[in-house]
Amino acid sequence: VIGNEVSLRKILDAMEGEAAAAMEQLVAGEGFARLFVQLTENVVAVSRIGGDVWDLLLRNLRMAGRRDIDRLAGQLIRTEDKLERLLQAVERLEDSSARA
Amino acid sequence: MSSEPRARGFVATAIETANIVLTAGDARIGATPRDLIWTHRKTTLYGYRSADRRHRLPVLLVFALINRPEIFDLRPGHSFVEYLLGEGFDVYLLDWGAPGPEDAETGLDYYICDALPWGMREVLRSSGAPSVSLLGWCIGGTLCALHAALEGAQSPARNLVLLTTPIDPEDSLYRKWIGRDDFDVDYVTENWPVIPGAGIDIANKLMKPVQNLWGTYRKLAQDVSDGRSDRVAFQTMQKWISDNPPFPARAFREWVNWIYKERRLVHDRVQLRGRLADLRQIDRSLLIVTAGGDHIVPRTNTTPLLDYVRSEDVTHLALPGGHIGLMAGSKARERIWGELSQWLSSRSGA
Repeated sequence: VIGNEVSLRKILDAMEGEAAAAMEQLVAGEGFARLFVQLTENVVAVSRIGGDVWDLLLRNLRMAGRRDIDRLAGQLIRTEDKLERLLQAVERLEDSSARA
Repeated sequence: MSSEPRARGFVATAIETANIVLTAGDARIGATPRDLIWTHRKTTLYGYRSADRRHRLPVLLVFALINRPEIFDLRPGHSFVEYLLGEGFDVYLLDWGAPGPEDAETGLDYYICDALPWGMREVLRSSGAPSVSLLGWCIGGTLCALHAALEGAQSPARNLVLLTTPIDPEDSLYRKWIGRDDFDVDYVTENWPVIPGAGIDIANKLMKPVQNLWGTYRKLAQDVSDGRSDRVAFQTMQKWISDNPPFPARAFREWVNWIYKERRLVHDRVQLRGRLADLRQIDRSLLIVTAGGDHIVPRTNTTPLLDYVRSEDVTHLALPGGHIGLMAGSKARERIWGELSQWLSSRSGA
């Protein structure tokens, strides 16, 4: 029984190796690359349509949609950038006054 | 022999294999104790203090934008961070975090001109060291190389270590997929404020579909059946692989256009905030590591850098292994960690 199991594993390994080589050849081909591009665009388009519908629904319910939250978060990022630059300027001043 | 024990063995193997796979999300990665040093936007700088510091220069680890940096600290007993601490280095880790839709306008310039130099500044302040050794892996390596190309002698990085870093991916599979003219990166990034990590993960797995989607699990089942499976090793790696942060739209658009479509790095055309990032400006001590079995960044995608840099101290380690296995595989400690530590320690003195 053990001998049979070992043989079976060898056969499976060989099959897997051949399948792997074949699939790698497939994904490296021009046809797959074209398919990959089109599939990516389809996924993007479907998710955009879904997102737009949800956003419209929420806005009509007088609730903040994704875009409103993103706009707010964007403002926070800009504020944080300014604070970081200000902090660095203060630290530089502190360092130079400590040296003096 | 009766078929009953064999059938029971098959059922037990299937249940244990499923258990290992299904509970992988509970595995603990990044367990080495660390301090939070600095944060900005989604970026966080962590510090790990060596109990036996023997080198003056700390090491700053910079990973890619498409996976989490915990790969540097996968699990106790198999952690590069832990290893470096044991070798007497203070270690810092720049974690890019998980960008959200509000980060859609974050470009590569943010990482190269702000987050990386500001992170280094905090490392110097925190450690008291005069300079730092910068170690970048994959996209993290490209960010470090671009920083060095931009800043030249002004960079606080004394040593530069680049692991499996894309510089000129002319013959890579990625270029075949996303570098082609009909891949409309503008369409993707206009509609997606961040590129979902899962999408990038699927693309990565499709490069070797049989191994990634079938072979990994078949091998696990075989190891379980033979009683030699390593639950912790499998689960920690699986957890890390499945955790893919989103890629900010603008940074993704620039990455695809600059690196894959236009190969700007080797054509002197990367401009960041009006400044040219010229690879010829790289004059630091440089260690480049490539992996012979790397299908994501083949060796030929990194080696063109050697033709450009003007560093006098350049080492190229051409090792066997894959893109991730090189640093995180079971043979990483013997194969590469020691070499990295030795290279760094001889360049981390006063």
